[in-house]
Amino acid sequence: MTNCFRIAHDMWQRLRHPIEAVRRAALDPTPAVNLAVLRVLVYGYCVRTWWGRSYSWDAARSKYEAVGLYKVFPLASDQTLAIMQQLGQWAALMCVFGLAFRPASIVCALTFPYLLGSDSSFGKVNHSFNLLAVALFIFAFSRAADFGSLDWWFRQRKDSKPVTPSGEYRWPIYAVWMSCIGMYWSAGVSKLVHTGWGWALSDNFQLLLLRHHVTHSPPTQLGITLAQYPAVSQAMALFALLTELLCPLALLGGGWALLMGAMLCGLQVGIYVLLGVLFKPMAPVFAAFVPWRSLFEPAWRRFKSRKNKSQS
Amino acid sequence: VGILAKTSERAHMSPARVAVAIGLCGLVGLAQLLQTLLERDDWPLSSYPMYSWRQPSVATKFDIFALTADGEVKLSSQHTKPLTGSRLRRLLGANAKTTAATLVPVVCKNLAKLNGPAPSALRVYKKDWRINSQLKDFDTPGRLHTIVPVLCPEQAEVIRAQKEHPAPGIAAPPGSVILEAEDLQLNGGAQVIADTQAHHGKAVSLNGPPSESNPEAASSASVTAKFNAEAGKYHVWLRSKAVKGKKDHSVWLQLNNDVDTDVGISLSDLANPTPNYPIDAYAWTSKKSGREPVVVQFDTSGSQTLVISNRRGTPIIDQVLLTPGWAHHPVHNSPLRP
Repeated sequence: MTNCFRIAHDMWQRLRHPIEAVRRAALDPTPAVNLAVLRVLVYGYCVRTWWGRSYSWDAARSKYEAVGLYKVFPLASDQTLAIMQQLGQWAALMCVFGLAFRPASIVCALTFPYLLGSDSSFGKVNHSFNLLAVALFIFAFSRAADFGSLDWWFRQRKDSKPVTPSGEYRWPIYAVWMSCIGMYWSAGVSKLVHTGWGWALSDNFQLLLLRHHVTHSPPTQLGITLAQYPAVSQAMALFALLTELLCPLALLGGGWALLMGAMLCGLQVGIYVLLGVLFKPMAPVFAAFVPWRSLFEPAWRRFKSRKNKSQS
Repeated sequence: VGILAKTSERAHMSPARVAVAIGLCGLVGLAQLLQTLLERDDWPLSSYPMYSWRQPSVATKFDIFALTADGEVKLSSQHTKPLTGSRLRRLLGANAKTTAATLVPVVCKNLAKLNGPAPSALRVYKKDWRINSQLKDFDTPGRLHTIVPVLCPEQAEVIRAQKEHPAPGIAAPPGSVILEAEDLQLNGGAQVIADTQAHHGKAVSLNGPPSESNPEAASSASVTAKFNAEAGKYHVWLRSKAVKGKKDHSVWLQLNNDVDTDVGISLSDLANPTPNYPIDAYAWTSKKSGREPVVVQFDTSGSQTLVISNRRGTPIIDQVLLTPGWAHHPVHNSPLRP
């Protein structure tokens, strides 16, 4: 109860002093664990999903319609794409293990976003990869391999200076939050601009649930069941719309980040269960909202105390 | 500078790195804000407008099949990649016929990689559902279109080769009536022509004035058939071709009581069933490209009368098929024997 009160009080204080709250959320010194875990998850996902993938567009080039960056950088030939793929996948593997992280992460930022986006120029923009591409760009400027990496291990062998908490391990996570939250907020604003509150307060969401049972393959029949209850459908749609519009509160950090992060995760799960749309590439980026240090800390403390005992 | 120095001290970072951090966070936020305000969709940033508009009342789904010697094989994203999922749906929705033509080499290549059966053509089914919140008729699509099969390049080559060396006739589907055009009664400008591509080397050219609005006036170039058939429903197919340089051919079809009246069924786009079908080669055709074939009903068994007359162009007809089978365009375009 005291904890709840403390969190609520902290959330209220952050609302009252938003600039200070943003400064704390973005730059407060933090241990390097969270960023290291995020590094492994983001680059690990790249390796797992795109290792050995072939980017052959030759047969479909007649359907090419350049979007975004591709208007500036035209689609490369299949051979060039294959070279970029090789460079990118090996660089991503090096980033997972934190080996020569700075150059490897720059190579990843220069190759993967280009490769990931290439299929967006064939009739439909693939939004699933946007967050991942932005995250790779942010990581290229970060010091995500200062801990839990081969670079760190080599450094430790020369000089066993501990990695002290720093804002360096905080701001890249915050920048990833910003891109995540910007995406949902934009989606909410777009709904209001194009359809208005009728997006939620009409039969629109019922039609969406039903349409997806025809055009997609949701894992459950829950969408059809819920579509039969207009009030429930409208309440769910309103929850989704309000979550999207209010999610910038997460940028205040603390309890707001946890609350909005959890609501956004719930929204994503709902989208998959009811509509059958799974934004898999967003999963590693969402891990930025998880306080990994708090999860690992008890286990780490136990490990340290055992080590100390055995040494003494 | 003072704020930067103070912030860097509190963050345990150098002022330069604080500037980088603030600059990057600001860039991400500003870029996203601009995308939203300008309603742009520029990869890798977007205003994320998907699902923003009011849902349409019609949902469309495409099913793509490869036509092989074993029959129809349903294609998955493995076969159509890199054109998959909603990207493929969107392309097919915009122009199914040309997209299907683009898809052919992609599918043929992928099927070969996967050691799948060699396809002769693709067939795309488009299903439309009328969606309403009362779930009325939700289980079945309201309309089902068949988009014309698109030939694989190899199959188009086979057809070109058949122009020189026509394939022998293959067995007709059971319960069918096959009429050789040259055996029918010729009227007006209809004349038998020698044609190595035709079954038995002969076909009929309907060389008469066009009559788009009225089949009665078209009888100046027609063929009449009298034959026996069981009562029931039949799909009507013509093995026909267009004269070189002229694609736009069509005929009128009249049956029993409609003969000698102005009532008839128009069979359009003869010998032009696919985007890459060679001109001046025979193909099985019916009502119109991409549509279901014409279905006729004989109420009684016994003697039936059929008249085919010129509607547009100078169509050349080799065979007429009335069959309970062939609800979709056949895989091959070979002549049939009883």
